[in-house]
Amino acid sequence: MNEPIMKDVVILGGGPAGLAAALALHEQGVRDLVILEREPEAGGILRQCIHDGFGLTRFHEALTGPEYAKRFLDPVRAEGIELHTGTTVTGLTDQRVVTAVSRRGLTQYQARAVILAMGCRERAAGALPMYGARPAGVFTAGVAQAYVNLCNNMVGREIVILGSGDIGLIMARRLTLEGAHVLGVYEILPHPSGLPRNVTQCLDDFHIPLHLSHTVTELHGAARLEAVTVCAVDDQRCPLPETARRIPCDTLILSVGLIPENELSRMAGVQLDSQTGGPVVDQFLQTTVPGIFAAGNVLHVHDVADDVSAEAEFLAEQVVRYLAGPLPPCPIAVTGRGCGHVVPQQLCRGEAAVLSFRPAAPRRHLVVEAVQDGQTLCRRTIPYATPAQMVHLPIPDLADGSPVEVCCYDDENPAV
Amino acid sequence: MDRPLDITIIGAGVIGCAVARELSRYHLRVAVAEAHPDLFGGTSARNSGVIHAGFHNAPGSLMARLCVEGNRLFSDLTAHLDVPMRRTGKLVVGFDEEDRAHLLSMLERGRRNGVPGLKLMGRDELRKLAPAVAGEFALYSASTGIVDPFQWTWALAENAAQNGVRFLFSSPLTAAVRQDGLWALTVGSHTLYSRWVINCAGLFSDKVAALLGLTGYEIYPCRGEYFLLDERLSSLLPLPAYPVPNYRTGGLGIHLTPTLEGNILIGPSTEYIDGPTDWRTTAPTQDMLLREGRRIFPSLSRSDCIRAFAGVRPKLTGPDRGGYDDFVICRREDVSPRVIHLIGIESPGLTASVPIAREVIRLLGLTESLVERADFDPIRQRPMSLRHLGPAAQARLIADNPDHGEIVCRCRTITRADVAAALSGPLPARTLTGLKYRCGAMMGRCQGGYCQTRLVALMEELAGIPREQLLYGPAGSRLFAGKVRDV
Amino acid sequence: MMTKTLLCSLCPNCCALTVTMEGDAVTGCTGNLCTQGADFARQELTMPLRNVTTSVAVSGGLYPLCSVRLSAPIPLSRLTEAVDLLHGLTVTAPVAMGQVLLEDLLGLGVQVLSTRSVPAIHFCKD
Repeated sequence: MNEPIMKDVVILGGGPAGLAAALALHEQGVRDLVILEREPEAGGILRQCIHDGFGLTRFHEALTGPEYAKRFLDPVRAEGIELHTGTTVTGLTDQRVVTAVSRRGLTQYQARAVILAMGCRERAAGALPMYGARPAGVFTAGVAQAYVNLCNNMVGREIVILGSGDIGLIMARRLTLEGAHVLGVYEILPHPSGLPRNVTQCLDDFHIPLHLSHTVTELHGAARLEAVTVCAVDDQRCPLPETARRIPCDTLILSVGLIPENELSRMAGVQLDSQTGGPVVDQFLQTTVPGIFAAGNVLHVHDVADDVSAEAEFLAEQVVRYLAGPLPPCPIAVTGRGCGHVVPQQLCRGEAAVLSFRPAAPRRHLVVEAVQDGQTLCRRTIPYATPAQMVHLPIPDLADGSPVEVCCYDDENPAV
Repeated sequence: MDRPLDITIIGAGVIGCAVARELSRYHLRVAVAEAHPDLFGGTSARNSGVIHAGFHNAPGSLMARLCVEGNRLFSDLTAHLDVPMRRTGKLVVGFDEEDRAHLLSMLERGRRNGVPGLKLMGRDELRKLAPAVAGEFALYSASTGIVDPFQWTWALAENAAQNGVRFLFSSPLTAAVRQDGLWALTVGSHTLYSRWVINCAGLFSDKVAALLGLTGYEIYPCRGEYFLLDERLSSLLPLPAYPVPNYRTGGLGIHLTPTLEGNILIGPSTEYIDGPTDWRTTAPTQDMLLREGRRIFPSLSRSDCIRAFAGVRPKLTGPDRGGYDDFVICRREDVSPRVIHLIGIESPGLTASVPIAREVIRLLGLTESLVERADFDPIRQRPMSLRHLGPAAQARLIADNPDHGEIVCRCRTITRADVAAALSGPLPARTLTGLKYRCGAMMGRCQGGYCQTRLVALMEELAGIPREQLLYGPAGSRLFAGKVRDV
Repeated sequence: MMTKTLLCSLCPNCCALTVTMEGDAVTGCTGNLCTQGADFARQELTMPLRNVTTSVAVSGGLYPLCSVRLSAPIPLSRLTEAVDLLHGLTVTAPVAMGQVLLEDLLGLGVQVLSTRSVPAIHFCKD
């Protein structure tokens, strides 16, 4: 076997994060880089997202996923940036040795910097408290989307969707347009998980009912799905058996959560945040392993591809700095109250940063505030805050070394 | 078929496949009729994969003798048939003096059954062996092991097929009549004429027995639910660990069993049910499994689970009696001429599969002259897989065949070459789950999220199975409702 | 006079709009933080517009489907008609991304654009 190939930067993943990072690095003079992509074509999940809404902030156009990807793929090709498709990374070490396998063979790279851009996977049926046999006809939304949009396979005719996240909503519309009867979308939370725009354009337009505070508890049918049992849930999200109803159907689409894909990160000993499912990073998006950086859905699941590209471009700037010399230490811890995770989890002194987080519940006029030692670093009021829309809060450079807390509050839930 | 068959085996579960493999040693025309569209349709695909030592079974019983024998043979057999296995040992864990008394009687029973390597272990030794397992003392069984039940069943079947046995799928036995000294068997859309029939029909062995003239047996289906934990937790359980079993319910207790891939199985539970193929999981039992699992494994949580499933035991004892009866392996020439019946083959059936098959042959040999074939090949081999190799060997493998470099299932590092191998050979996959269990794709963390679309495409490309007809598993389990566009 | 509420979907502010209507005409709008919101409300309640994204069949292509969208949104009331027409189309490979597959959909003055490139496959005669 040959010696590892030396590279300044190896990018794991040729989806929106990986492509944007590569272009930004190239523009800033980093030429010794390679993108490793496991699919036969780059573009990541965008390839199957034939709906529009991509590029609204970045290009001021409503593009489909493949069109958005092309805006990055074309310059990547034009600039001659090294991109290997059909190549799966099978190993990553804390010394930044990357092992990749393709039909052409096994290659190892010794990278000075590694960018994790592997995206995320879907939560599967097995993880849910959903009982019964295991009939055919149960698909996660992304798999159904790939079948319908890429493979020309129709997944079913009488459809129940569990989960009102954007993918579930998009598939409700997609399947309806293809002649299926979408019987309803069931959401365990008391509010929709996806964007209001998608609730309108994917459900209301087609008179597809949305049942909040409901879940699917049982599957019926031994060979192919015949029905599901749905139940209302209480405020602890526990099913109320007396509300059980049997819904005849032949397909169940699951849109019940995305999980950052961090198997390679674990291999390298990267510390993960149990709330995001992604790596713990500092404000330079560097993980706990020096020289390994992360951006995009692998770090925390995003709503908008435009945000992913921006995050990856920011990361590229940090990698350029890193290649020139070590980045400042980031000892200041960040926590959140009234919101879920906050990224980054560690900050340094003396450099401005942007904190990203999701509000815990939909609220009007939500005040979001970053506080350090009782001092407000930044405060914004968000006219309409929802867990479906990530918030980005800029904070100035810090002189103090105390921890920073992000608080979200409104009239109902005042800050303490 | 022109000439009648010598032997027709009903059922291609682990027992039917073991019987087929052992029969293929002789100059006999043998066929196996399986109701399902592929292997893995019944109990053989829904169990813990444990190679039992034999200390649970009553001394003097067939179960005890054949289990101990099967355990002894397992290393050689798996080596010949190229099936991975590991002698992990096993712990039966106790907490109080009553448990200790049970463990001692188990130890004594094991010794009477000729089980090697049994000893009682104290707290310190237990902690050293399995630090995450709670318990005051344990019975340690050195000879217990684990195997992949899918690989074992498939290996037996392939070796049988390689040695001339024919397999018919989607061929349930619906009628059997005596005709001119032969059995005329209606299996699916075929009629087979066969001198002998071996009833290996598992959950339906009572009904098949009745079709073949033997009444008076009843199978009491007894479901066992499981759930499977993420392989991330694998280091916590290096070997199977069980709490002291309860004889009245006849189950082995709620136990924790590692798989060769590093997943941990919790289960099985024990519940008598009505239908023999009622493989549903249920909320109360899944909750119970979690609670019971925590007795041994205090840090367990629901979010650690990647899949839940159920198997059904074909028991000969009903709910009022409980416990279990010995294997029924018998001939009844008075009512069921030239048939060997295997009824009630529950645990330790998997472990005892080849000795059970040899017992069938012994019974056959009482009235049949069996001539060994000189060209019987006991060796069955699988092609090399990328995931078993280190980087240098992987590089060479890919250079030799680029299909080894095309990864199809990311979670388990299953390649196009592995999938192609499962779609070729004497018993290729016919359904999506048939492919899954042969090559291991879809069995990892993402449960097919990444690889499913690729596997479907490869089944079409390499096996010529049109997508619109592709079954997930059993008959009637089509994956798709047609095309999006007719192109 | 009638009052309707809706959420504006133009930007993340997601203003809760309260709109007064006289028959089919919008007479007033409150709750909007910008003027585009009032325009959105007017449009959405009198003649909601939607883009259509779906797949059309491809003959002779490496892929069986080509994803498409429209160059501009069309009235929601025409959506079913538009989808039926698109689902009856077959385009011939090769198809370039951005290629106009249909010049004027239903006489509404919008184009049907390919959002994918589909190379042609060539069969070799032995």
